[in-house]
Amino acid sequence: MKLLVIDDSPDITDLFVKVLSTIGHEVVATDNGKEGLDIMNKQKFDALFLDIAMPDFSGLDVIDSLLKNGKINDSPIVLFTASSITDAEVNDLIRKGVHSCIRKPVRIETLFGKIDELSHVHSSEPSAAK
Amino acid sequence: MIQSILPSINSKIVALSLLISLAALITISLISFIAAHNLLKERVEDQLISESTGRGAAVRSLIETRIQQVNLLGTNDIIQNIVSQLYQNKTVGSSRDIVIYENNFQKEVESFQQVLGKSAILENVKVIRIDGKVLMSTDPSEKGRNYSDNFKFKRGLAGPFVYFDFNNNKRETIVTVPIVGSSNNEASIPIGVIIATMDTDTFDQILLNRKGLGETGEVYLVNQNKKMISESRFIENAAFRQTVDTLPVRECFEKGKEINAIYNDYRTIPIVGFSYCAKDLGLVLLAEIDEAEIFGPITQLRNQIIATSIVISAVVVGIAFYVSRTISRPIVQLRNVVDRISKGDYNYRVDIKSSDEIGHLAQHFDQMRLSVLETNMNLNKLVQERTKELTDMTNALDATAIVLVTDKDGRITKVNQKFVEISKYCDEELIGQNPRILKSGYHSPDFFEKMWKTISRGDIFEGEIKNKEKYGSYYWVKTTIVPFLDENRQPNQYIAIQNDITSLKKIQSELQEALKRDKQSAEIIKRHVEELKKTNIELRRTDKLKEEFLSMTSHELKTPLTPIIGWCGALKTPRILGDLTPSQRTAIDTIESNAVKLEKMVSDMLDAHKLELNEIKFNIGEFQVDNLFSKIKKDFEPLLREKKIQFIIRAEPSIKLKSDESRILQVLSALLYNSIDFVPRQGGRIEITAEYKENDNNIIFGVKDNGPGISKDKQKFLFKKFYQVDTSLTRKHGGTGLGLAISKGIVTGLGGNIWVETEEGKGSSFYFSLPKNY
Repeated sequence: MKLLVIDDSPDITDLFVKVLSTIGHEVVATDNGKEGLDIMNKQKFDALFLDIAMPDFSGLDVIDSLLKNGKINDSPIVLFTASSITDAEVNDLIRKGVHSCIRKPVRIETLFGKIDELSHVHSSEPSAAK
Repeated sequence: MIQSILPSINSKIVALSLLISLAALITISLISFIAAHNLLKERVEDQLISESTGRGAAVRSLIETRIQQVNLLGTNDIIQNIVSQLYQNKTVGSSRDIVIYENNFQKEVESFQQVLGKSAILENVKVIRIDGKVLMSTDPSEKGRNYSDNFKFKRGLAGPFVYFDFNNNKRETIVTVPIVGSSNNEASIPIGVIIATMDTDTFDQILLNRKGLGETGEVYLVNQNKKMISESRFIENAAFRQTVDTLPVRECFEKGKEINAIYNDYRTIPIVGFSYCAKDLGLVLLAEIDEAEIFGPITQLRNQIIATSIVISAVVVGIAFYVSRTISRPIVQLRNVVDRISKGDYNYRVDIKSSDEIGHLAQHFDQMRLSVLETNMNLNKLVQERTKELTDMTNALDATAIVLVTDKDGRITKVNQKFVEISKYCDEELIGQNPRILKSGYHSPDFFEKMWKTISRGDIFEGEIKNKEKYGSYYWVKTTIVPFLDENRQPNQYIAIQNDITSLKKIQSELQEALKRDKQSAEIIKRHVEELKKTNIELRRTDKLKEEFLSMTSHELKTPLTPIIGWCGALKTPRILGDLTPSQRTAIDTIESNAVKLEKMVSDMLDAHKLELNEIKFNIGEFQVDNLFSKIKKDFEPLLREKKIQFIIRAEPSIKLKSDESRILQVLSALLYNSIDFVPRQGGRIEITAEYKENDNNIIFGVKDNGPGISKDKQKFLFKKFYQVDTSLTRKHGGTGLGLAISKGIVTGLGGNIWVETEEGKGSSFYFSLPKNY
């Protein structure tokens, strides 16, 4: 699977890239929301892991932009956050097109489980892989 | 009024009936009276005319008979011869001759008497020579007397006539006849006169026969000297004594007329008379009957008519009275009812049971009375109710308010007790006055002008007025003036309703004073309040900052934990970074477990804060307790096995619960961590239970350990934030001391209770109950 990870913490993006690539996934990472949007304009991803609390351009800004340019459904978005965002707020975002939410810190088993779940979504929706 | 009319109906009917009957009676009476009168009069007149003419003619023929009879004597040869001898000789012859003559004369008179028979009795007969010397007489004493100046002798010379005289109380008929000589040359020259005196019996027979003359009728003769010459029916010896100077006598001798008329006779009594005038004989015959006798039957008839009329009238009046009574009785009854009704008594029934118009009228009247009675009763009831309402209202008004009524010019016409009490004036001083007498001088003239304008155009005025009472004290009233409008919508009186607000006004002014005094203090307070407000805002800002700080802290703490825990997981996964030595693996485990502990502490702090702000939100859903316990077992088994703690799960099978699963998991985890910390290193034992209480529809979860237990004095603080049972610096148990406090917050939030059952040295059992359906 081809994954995009947007998180301002390089330790976290590093973890994603090293761990997930060892099990055979292609992982692109950026520490900046704007840069993430640019990358998404150029390449197609099977899933997006998006941090919310980022300086300058937050994960919510990324979602707003995707909603505006109509690309919210291009690839499943998994929120990946340590902030105190409430369940209600999460549900609101899911209604807007977000796939799910994982709270930090995350155990490696949880992460693997999510990837596994997304691969099923990916295989059942071949059009999204283009 | 009615009483005076009704009897007049009676009397009118009676009078009318009487009038009609009398008119009829009078008309009938008059007609019959006149008819009877005329009839009687006609009959009497017929009778009298036949009597007068008949007897008159009889008298005349008798006189003529007498003249003829005496004339026979005059033409007797012997007498003529004697007279002639004596006349020629002029002197009385020899005495012998005279005796012969006298004898002859006597014989002739006697034979003449025989001729007359009983029709007349000769009383005296004398022969008078032309020179008036009595030649012969049946009365010897008269012989030789000279009658030359006697009027009888003179009339006798002129022609024969009859004369009635009265001598020696005896009436006599004197017949005088001239003697004509027997020789031719002497034929037309009388040579003497025979005067014969006879009785009047035959005349009396004619006159005194009263057949057909009724009770009072008579026939008599009157001579030229207006002396009655026959006998009267009424007066004895009237002949030649009674003068009769009556209308027919005068009419006869003056004008030669016969009359028939009603006049007064010689007795001055009204009679009906007829005359037979024989002026040539110097006589008038009168046939008369008293008027009274003739019209006696009429008088009788009149009396009978009057008597009958009285009887008939009485009967008519009686009938009329009865009829009018039958007509007027119901009217009188009706009138009595009307009288009663006019006096307000509607309960008097009209009891008239006749089927005529009056009966119908009475029936309708009674229906009218009943409906009026009903209407009246309803009206009375209504009036009573309204009056009571009005009285109640007036009483309420009088009891609660000061009331003043004025006429349209503002003169007081009525005040109530409260007005008198507050103004101190008595009724007499107020009535007729203008309310201006209460003027305090407080209000400007404008105020009253405006008030007067308002009410005089028919609007209601409301305002507060300061008044002055009789003795100079002031009082305030809240006044409402209501104009009462007449049919032209012009005010005809005003009613003012006032309430004493003097004390209110006093309080108001005192309050204003106090307010003024306290204004400065108030301003100081205001400043303080403002400062407080500022502080409050500051505090809120600080709160927000604190919240933001906490939120940020948790984020900032969790972010570095992510790669730590992530890498621990990666390291323990041989296919990622290769196999680890057992000691390396232990190290990674230690790092991982501490990182997890740290994460838990951060989460606890955030939760505790949220609890404080009441911000925890629950995700309610249905789940099996079995599943929940499976998750616990999976999460805790590695740790418990490592610490060699005996773990028992005891739950009733298939309990379903509607609540927040993850929060319950959080509470159970907190309790388990606590127990794990406190159980002994050797032989530790923990038991989790779940039990359904049907009575309360509750599920009771329990976490029991064989730890040291908690002393009573410390139990009450267990669920306080940051409380640690062992607060010594050398405490062997870690943690933030937030677990139980958070647990209590969650359980309470889910509608349940949390408690502990423990005894020092005998372990602790934590329980919490939750409603089966949140």
